[in-house]
Amino acid sequence: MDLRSGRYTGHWMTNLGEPAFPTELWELIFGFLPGNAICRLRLVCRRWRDIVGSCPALLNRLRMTLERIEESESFLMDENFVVPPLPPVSQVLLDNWDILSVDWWVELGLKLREITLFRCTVFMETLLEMVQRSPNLKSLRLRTVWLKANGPFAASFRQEGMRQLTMDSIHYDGLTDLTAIHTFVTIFPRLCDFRLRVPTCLMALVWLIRRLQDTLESLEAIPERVEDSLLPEVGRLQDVLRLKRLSFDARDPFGKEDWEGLYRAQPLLEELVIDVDRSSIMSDIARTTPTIKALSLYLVGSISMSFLSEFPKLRYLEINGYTSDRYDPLPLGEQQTEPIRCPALRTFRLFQMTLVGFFNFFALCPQVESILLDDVKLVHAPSTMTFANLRHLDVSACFSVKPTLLHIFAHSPLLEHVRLTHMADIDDEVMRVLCQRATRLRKLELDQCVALSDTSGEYIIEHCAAMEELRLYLNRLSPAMMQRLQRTRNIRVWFSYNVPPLEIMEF
Amino acid sequence: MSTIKLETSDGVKFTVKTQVAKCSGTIRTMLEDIGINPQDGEAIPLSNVHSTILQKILVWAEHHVDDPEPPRDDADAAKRTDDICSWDEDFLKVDQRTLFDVMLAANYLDMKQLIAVCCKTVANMIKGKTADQIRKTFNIENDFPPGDEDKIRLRNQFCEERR
Repeated sequence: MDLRSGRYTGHWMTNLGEPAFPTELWELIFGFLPGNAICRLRLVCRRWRDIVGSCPALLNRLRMTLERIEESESFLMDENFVVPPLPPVSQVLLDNWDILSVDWWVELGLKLREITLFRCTVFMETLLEMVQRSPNLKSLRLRTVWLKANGPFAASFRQEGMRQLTMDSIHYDGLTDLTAIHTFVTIFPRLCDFRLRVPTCLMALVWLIRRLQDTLESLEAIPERVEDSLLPEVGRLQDVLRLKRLSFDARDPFGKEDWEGLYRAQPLLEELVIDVDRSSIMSDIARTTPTIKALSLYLVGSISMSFLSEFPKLRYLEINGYTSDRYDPLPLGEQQTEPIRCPALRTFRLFQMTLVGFFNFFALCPQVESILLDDVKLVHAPSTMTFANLRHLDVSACFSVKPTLLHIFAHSPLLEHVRLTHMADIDDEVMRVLCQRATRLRKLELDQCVALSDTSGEYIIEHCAAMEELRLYLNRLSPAMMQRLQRTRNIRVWFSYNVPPLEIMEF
Repeated sequence: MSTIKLETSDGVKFTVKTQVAKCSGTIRTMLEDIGINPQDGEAIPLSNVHSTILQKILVWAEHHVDDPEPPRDDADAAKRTDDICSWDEDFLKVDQRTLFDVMLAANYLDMKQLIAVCCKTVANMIKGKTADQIRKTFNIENDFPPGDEDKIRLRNQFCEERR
C-alpha cells in the first residue's frame, strides 16, 4: 500500500515489520494468539513490540504476577523493595506479600486496569494510595487479604472509572468490615459489579445497594443473619436497579411467587448465585425464566438435578457442596427416567461432592469446553464418549479419578490446558497418555503431584510439541530434569525446587 | 439474476452477480446507501485491488455467498484458530504474498469473515515459534538496538497469560 495515495498497488513489501501492513490487521491477527505467544511477539521487532504495547485488547490478555514462592525470599514490599523490570501489562497479581510501601508503584499504576491481591497483608492507607495512583483502574480483587489500619484514614479522592470490586475472605485489624465497605463504595461511586463473599450486616448491604443503584448490574452479597434477605430492597428499587446477576437464598420457605416477584422486579437477570435445598424451586425458576445463562448453586443435601434440562440456554454451571456433609452424591448422569441435557453448556465447575455418572452427563453436553473438579469424588464407569470441544481441565484434590482422567486425556482432541493440583494418584502412566494423546496441549500445571518421576518429564520433552507453558510446583522431579525442560523448544517453565517432603499432603 | 461490473486497479473488468458482490461491505454500501445504480453498465472502480487478487476473492465469495450471518463476538470466548473449514484451508494454501494481499483487499472491501479466516491462518503460522523463527517466517528484520531484546526478555519473565 502506498500510504500517500492510499492506493493498493499489489506490490509486496519485503519487510512486514515496516509500517506498510496496517496496524489494525496485525492487532486482529495477534488477537487470535494465546497470551504467551503475545509476550513473545514483543521480541520480534520494534514495530510489533509497539503494536502489542499500545493495544488494550492484547494487553488485557496478559498479567504481571509478583509471587513469592521460596520461603527464604523477603515478603516485604517496603522502601527497600527492588522494583522488577516492568512489562507493559494492564493487570497485576500480588501473591503472598506484606505491602508497606508503594513508592515503586508509580510507573506501573498508570497503565493498570486490574489489581488482584492474594494472600497479602496491607494497610488501608497503602491500598488506597495504590488505587489512587492507578487512575485507569477498572477492577480490584481482594482474595484472602489481611486489611489493617492505624487509626483513621482519609478517602478524599473518587475513582469514577472503577467497575468491579471483589472482597473475598478479608481479615480486619484496626478497622471493621463496615468501615472498609463504606470507604470503597464512597471512592468507587460507579461500581457495576460488587462481589462481597462474606456475611455482612443487612443495613450495610441495603446502604450500598442504594448508593450504587444507578450503576449496579451484578451483586453477590450474603446477609449476616439467616432470616435477613436483600430481596425486599431489590424489589423496592425495581424502577432504578437493572441487575443481570444476583445472589440469594432460595432455601425453603423461598417459593415460586418469591421468584416471580423478583423476576418481575429484575427482568434482565440471567446469572443466578443460589443457596438451594430442593429441586422443585429450581424447576419453578426454570419455568418462569428459561433464559438463564449461568447458575452457581450452593447445595444443601443431595437433590435431584433433572431441572437442569429445563434451562436450555445454560452456558455456565457451578455446583458447590460446601454447605452440608462432605461429598454428598450429585446424581448428574445416573439412570433417570429422562437423562439431563445441557446442550449449550460450556463451563462446568464442581466443588466438594461425589459425582455420579460423569460420562453419561457429559455425553449430552456436546459443547462443554471447560471442566473444573475441586475436592470431588468420581464414581467411574467405563465409557466410549469423546469430549469433542473440551479445552480446559482443572482437577484439584480429587479422589479415585485416575481411570476417568485416562479416558478424558485419550478422548479430548482439542485439550489445550490441563491443571492438576494435590493429586497423589497421578502417576507417570497418566502423564504418558496425556502427553501422547493430547497433541494440542500448550499449557500444563502440576502442583503437588508427588507420584510423578522424571519419566513424566521425558514424556513432555518427547511428545508435547505444542507446549508453551509448564508450571511445576512442589513435585519430585529432579533439578536436572527441570533444567532439561527449561531448554526444551519454546516452553516457558515456572518451577520450585527442593520440596520438603513433610509439607506435602499425602492422601 | 442481476449482475454488476467491477473494475480493478489494473483496469480489468469483472461481471459479478450482485449477490456475490454484496459479500463486500464496501460494495454493499455503495449500492444501497450511496445509490450507485448497477444497471447503468458502468463499472464500480476498486482502485485498491489488483485483478489477480479480486479473482481469488470472488471465488471465495461465490463459495460463501449463502453463509448465515456469523454469531456476534462473545467477548469472553477464547478466540479459536482451529475452526477454519477445510475449503477455506485449501483456498488459503497460497504463497505468503498472496495471503497478505488477499487480507489487505478483504480489509479494503470490508469482508469480515474472509479477514477473520486470513487472520487465523497467519496466527497459526506464528503459534509455537520463537521470535527468531517468526522473523524468518515473515522475512522481518530484527531492528532492535543491541541489548534491547534482552531487556524485553527480562520484562517478559514477569509477564504471563491471564488465568
